[in-house]
Amino acid sequence: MSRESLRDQSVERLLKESFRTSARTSQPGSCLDAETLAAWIDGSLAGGPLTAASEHLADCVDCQATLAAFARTASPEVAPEAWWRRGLSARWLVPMAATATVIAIWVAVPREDTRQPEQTSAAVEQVATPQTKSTGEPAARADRPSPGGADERLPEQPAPELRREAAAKEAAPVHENEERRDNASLAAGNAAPAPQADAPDSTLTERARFGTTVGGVIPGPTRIEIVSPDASIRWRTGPSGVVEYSEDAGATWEATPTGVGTDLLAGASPSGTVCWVVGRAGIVLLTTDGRRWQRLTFPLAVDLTAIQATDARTAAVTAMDGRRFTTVDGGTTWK
Amino acid sequence: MPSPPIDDALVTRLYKRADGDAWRLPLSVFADALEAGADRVFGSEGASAGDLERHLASLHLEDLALACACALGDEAAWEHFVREHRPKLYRAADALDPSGGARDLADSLYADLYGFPDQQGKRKSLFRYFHGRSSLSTWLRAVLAQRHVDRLRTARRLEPLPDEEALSSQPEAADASDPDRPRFLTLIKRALGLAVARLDSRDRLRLGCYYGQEWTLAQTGRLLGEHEATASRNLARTRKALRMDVERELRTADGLDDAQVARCFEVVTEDARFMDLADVLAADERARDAPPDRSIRKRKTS
Repeated sequence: MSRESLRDQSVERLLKESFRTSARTSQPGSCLDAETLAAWIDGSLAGGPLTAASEHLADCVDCQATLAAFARTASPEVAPEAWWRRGLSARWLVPMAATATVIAIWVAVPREDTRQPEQTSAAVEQVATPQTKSTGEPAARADRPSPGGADERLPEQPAPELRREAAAKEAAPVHENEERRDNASLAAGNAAPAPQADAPDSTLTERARFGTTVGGVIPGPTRIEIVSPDASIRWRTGPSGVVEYSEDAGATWEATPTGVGTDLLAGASPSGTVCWVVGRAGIVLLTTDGRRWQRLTFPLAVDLTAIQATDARTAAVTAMDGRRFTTVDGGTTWK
Repeated sequence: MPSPPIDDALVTRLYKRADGDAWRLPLSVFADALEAGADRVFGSEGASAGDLERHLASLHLEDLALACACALGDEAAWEHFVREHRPKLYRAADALDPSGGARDLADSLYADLYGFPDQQGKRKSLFRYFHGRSSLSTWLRAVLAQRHVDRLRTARRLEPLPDEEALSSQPEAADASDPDRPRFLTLIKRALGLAVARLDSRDRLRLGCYYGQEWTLAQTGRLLGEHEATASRNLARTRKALRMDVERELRTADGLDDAQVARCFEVVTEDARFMDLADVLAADERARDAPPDRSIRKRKTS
């Protein structure tokens, strides 16, 4: 082992010891009030208040513990899993996909004006999605330590004092595996110098152009950037209902209140003033002036993972389960 | 310099955006809530008209109107709040303690939100602390999280210190073989403290979450909007920067030579208090797996 890595190891041991000790001896002081903490989490702070809150959070173990507890509350907006998806496994997906393909061909070949019941079109949509679902979903879930954790931005693990309480309740093997994974990646970080290019982060920001859709089948911590036809006008979404607006191609961002606290998963902008955003639990938001968001009524509390829009009245959204809904009257009715 | 007053036209515009009419919220109450929120953010320093307008535009106005109406006791608003937010509050409480132990926190929070009459008979609701700077949902979860942590902290104060803590609080034992050891340890700990203090807040928060709160890399990364691998690389970069800063500090401020600097790092690796539990367990395992020492057995039997 080189001298540097031995010294790095010493630094790591000292860090562990000093941070754990400070966690024990820290006195509660002028901690962030709940609203400032919530605004920091929502990404609503800017300028001086943001700097002050970040500085405080960096050093205050009490507020960090509150953040940890907050993270554990991050599952309120998860829609219950549809009954028909429970127990759905690959052995059913293959024949279902094959059957749906046959139906799709049978439907598509004769004539366009043949009226199809809605369930058939839902089945047709599923043809395109089962592979994505079957490969992507478990991978995304494997990254999550607790099955109920829906808020992707924040951790589900408790702070040390909370951990002790939770230790008996949480599945130890999962935690151990994750720690091992951490150690492995930490070792990798030690072994190789940090590259300048931040490759994995590039996957965190997806971009949508114009009326096309962004967001994946699997909701995640993805920050989505939605680019309007006028490339200087953009929106970006984050967890917990955060949407920011930029008029200078992303150089500066302005928070726009959405009134929802749900993770937003996809968006589409057909013009410089119109933007649609969808998210968990049937959230559909629409702005027609770029800044003010209107929450539209959606018939189901399902996670919406993709959207295509042609203007402020016409849009098609895709649900987590592959179903597709369209509106031609600005979200008043959905088919 | 106090903040400029919020002009009536702007208040009316914001009120419309907030849909205050839906709860029959008096405009004056809404205006007061906006003023109170601005005062809280800008304090006595005040704000320019531009800053004030930006602040107001960034508020979660619909949530603010709902909170104001609930605080006033509007029945429709309260019903809406109960329907929309109470289940979330309970789910959040159950997530904090799946055995249901945090439900009483949610109940007491709910009661505080409803409010109790003060000495003048005026109802005081917890909603008065909500100014729309975050979504109502996030604020409720943050309040619940704070109360949960406060309760745990209170409970911990009543518990005796575990052995591990008692051990680490003991004074460092003098080592006869190396009388400089305590001094080197003090110097390197001080140098590291200074180096950490010089880091920017984001790096400190990352260290605090990872080492202090013992979050995983994935969790730490999620908080900071970083990929797990990026969080790992950033931690490695920070540790390297800290190591170089500590070396510099020991040389320049404390006047140590190369050998003494090296010794400072060595005493850390030699000190049992800094041993990683994983290392200790691995060492134990190795010792268990090792073949028995026959020389001892022979001595015992002889």
